[in-house]
Amino acid sequence: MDDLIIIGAGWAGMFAAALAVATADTQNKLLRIRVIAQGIGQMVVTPSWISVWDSAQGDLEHDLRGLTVIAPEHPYALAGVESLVNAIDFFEEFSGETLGLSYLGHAPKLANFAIATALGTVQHPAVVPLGYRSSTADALFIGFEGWRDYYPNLSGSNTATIKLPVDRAWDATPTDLARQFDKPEFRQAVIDLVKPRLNGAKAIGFPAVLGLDYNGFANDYWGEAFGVPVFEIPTLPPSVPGTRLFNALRRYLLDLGVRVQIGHPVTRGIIEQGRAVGVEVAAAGKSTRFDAKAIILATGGLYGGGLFSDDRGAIWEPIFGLPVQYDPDRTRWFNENLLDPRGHPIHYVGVRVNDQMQPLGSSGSPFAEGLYAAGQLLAHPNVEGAPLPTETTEGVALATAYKAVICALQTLSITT
Amino acid sequence: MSQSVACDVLVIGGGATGAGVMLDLALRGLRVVLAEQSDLNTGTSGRYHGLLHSGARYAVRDPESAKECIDENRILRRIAPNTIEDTGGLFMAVPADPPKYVEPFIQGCAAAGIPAEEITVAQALKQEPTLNPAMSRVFRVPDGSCDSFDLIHALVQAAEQLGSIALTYHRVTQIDTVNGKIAGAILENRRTGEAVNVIPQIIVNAAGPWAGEIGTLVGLDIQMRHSKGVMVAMNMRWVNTVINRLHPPGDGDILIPVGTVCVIGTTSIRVNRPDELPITSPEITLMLDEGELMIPGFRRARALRAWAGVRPLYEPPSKGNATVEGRAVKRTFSVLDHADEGAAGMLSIIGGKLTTYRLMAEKVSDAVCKQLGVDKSCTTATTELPAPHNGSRRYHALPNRQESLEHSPTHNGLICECELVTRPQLEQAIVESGSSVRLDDLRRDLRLGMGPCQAGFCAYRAAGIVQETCKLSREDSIDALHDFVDERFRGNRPLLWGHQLRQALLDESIYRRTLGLSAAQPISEPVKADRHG
Repeated sequence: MDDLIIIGAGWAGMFAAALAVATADTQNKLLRIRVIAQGIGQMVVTPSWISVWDSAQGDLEHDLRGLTVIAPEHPYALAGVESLVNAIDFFEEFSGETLGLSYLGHAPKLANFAIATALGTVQHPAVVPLGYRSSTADALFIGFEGWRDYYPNLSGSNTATIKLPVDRAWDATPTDLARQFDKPEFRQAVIDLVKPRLNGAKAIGFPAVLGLDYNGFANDYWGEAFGVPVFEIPTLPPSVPGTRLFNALRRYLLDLGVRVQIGHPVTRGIIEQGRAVGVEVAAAGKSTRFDAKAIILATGGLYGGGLFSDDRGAIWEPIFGLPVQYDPDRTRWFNENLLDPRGHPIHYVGVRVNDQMQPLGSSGSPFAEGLYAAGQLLAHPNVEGAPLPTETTEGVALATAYKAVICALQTLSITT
Repeated sequence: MSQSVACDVLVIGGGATGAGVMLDLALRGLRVVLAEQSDLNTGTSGRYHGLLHSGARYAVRDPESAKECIDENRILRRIAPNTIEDTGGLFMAVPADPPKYVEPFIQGCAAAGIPAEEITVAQALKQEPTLNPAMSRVFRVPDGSCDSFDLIHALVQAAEQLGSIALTYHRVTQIDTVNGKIAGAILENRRTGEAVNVIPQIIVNAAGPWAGEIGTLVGLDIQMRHSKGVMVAMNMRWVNTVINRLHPPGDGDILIPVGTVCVIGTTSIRVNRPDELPITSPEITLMLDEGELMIPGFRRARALRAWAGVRPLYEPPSKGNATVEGRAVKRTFSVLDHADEGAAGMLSIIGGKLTTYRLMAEKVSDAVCKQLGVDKSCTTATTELPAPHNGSRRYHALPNRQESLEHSPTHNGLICECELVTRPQLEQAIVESGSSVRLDDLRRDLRLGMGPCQAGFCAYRAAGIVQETCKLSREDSIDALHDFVDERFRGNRPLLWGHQLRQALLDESIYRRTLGLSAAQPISEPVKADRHG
């Protein structure tokens, strides 16, 4: 029997596992934790920064406290603003000291950055991998000849294209190129190709492929090599910064004895006498049952695979059959344009939880004891003045995973 | 400055019928100008499901159409083998189908000369294992699938080799008559705005659902019935044989394997205008429900595209009879001579089906020749259409692309991985289209962004390559990207559930978050006619 099963390996699931094992570790307690997921999570397709509330300006904590008043059902309000703050504090310290992947936030006060995108626009996450920077007018954007996934002329006007010393560069994924940058001789060759093109540029922007295992930002390798700041620009998926984080988290969990089973979909949650006691996992031949004292459901929303939908307009949660808050008229799920500034009604769909992150049954009381939910699976209230769900993705994952872990550990008599 | 073109016949409409008339008359030695308001094959023909009828569908209710279909089916297999896949067809009775339909079906097929051979359920399942094993009776008929894009391009190419010309993006804006006889027509070049005077002896109105609009240019009142049909393409080829239900023709009862997908159709809903093509979610759910009856589990495949076409039905004026609607309107065709209505020299060809385009062309061409005193008989039934030159015509079929990629001496990056579009192909299409190229033009030329990912990845890449090739400004390139993303989404929006919904959320995340392609812009153009399948 496990102490804790976490279903899902995205931001919420991986962070929950890391927080739980780190907390137990500092108390010299041995916790049997198992992460079971159908696949790797959304972090490898997103830029891997942490969006807390992209459109907020100034002091985020202040705005979030205001949000808890106007939208008490918002995941931030249910988890509590302190859960978000504590989660980000933990993540910043943990990512740097333990994972060796420094993330940068505006400590001590949370505020948004302005980060350059591949289209020369600006995004506003609150915590970012060290390689992301805001662009400057004097930046030089570097493209790779024939490579299909980055076009420097769409980023800015000062550009240079170099021919990478690698075969079949046109066919490479971002991760393929990042593995090349793990090699010192390859990095040096690129430095030698770019240097003569600098021509007084005040910064250099590369597509975010500058190493998968090697992190040349933590030790300022790139800045020293060029004499000007170097930054990365998020690319089409797969996201190299996201893969770096996922790999580091996975290694950390395995090192601390967490069982990480990816590629095994949970087919059914088991509830006995009002308590979630385990899950069934699809395996070759027959399904396998794993029992646990507590379960955190972090399977994601409609994109992540935690919610299913069909052509008749039904949306359901397949593992425990939790009630889902949604509109059964699917013609209203999306607005006319994909990039509508209001987002889409479908983004608000999800499972409702209480302030202990327990999913609610149809009666409004907890669906089962010992069951917690976190991340994109959760419903958002569609309230004037609240952020769009798409601008809070990672912040909500961290805050709700943090709260879910605290509540789950309490049932295991571990306090944080 | 306007130009003038003299010709024997002006054919209006660049669908299968118009292209068929163009070639028929050209083969009889006449010089034809074909005017099409959009691109070739963008109206009803381009929006058709791809079924080469055996006629069995009409065997009970509409024997005349049934006979026409089987005759033309045999002819097309001879003259246009490159456009046809000989899939064969099955008529299957599922438990919901009325057993008393079977006998009239057998008799109707026999009367029309359609070979309909009964096979056992076991044989049917051996041939098509995904079919509903609860079916009771199955008949094998010579259905097929036909690529209308290839067919129409072959017809036009053959006619152009004989000296006729096709003017695409030319809309007929005016038809002049003198003393009750047509004297000429004015076309507007929709790209340049220039006017073209055409001075024909005869005008053939083959504008399909737009035939009524053309008629009004000379004060004619052609009573069209516009019947909308919705089709859905699923992302797998559930069957290799055309599947029909053994019952009176209804909604969602034909399944046609086309290229790498299969298409289910259709509905029959009366609409008021030829461009009124809404697709509602109940219609799509109906298609999937009907699909489940033929193939259990049908809806588990991804629905890739949904589109609608308008059948140009025509019911000749009759006296005292109740109005006939939808499926009850016969699928035969009519040739109208407007001499008595003050437009001598103008003929309309209305109704019919893609399978019978050649026969329709023959009938109206006979009438044209009679009026012109040309004593040449029709030869289209024995004249084989030109084969696609060096494979490019079959270019839209995914296996052909894969074959050419695998044997290509130079490799290059795939820009659209779903439809196997490479960078050199994209660059060539951009150069051919000129600097006013829109990403959506590249989509129609190359099928860019039409696979399961719906341009999630290739739209950004194509915008980058267009920028590099045409030296566009950054702002113009990003605008073009924004337009394309919106345009793709509009086609996809009726199909967002299950995996396709996940795909849309991923695409949104890429463009909204990762790339920061910011807030929406005005929609630039109405829905365009498409190439599907």
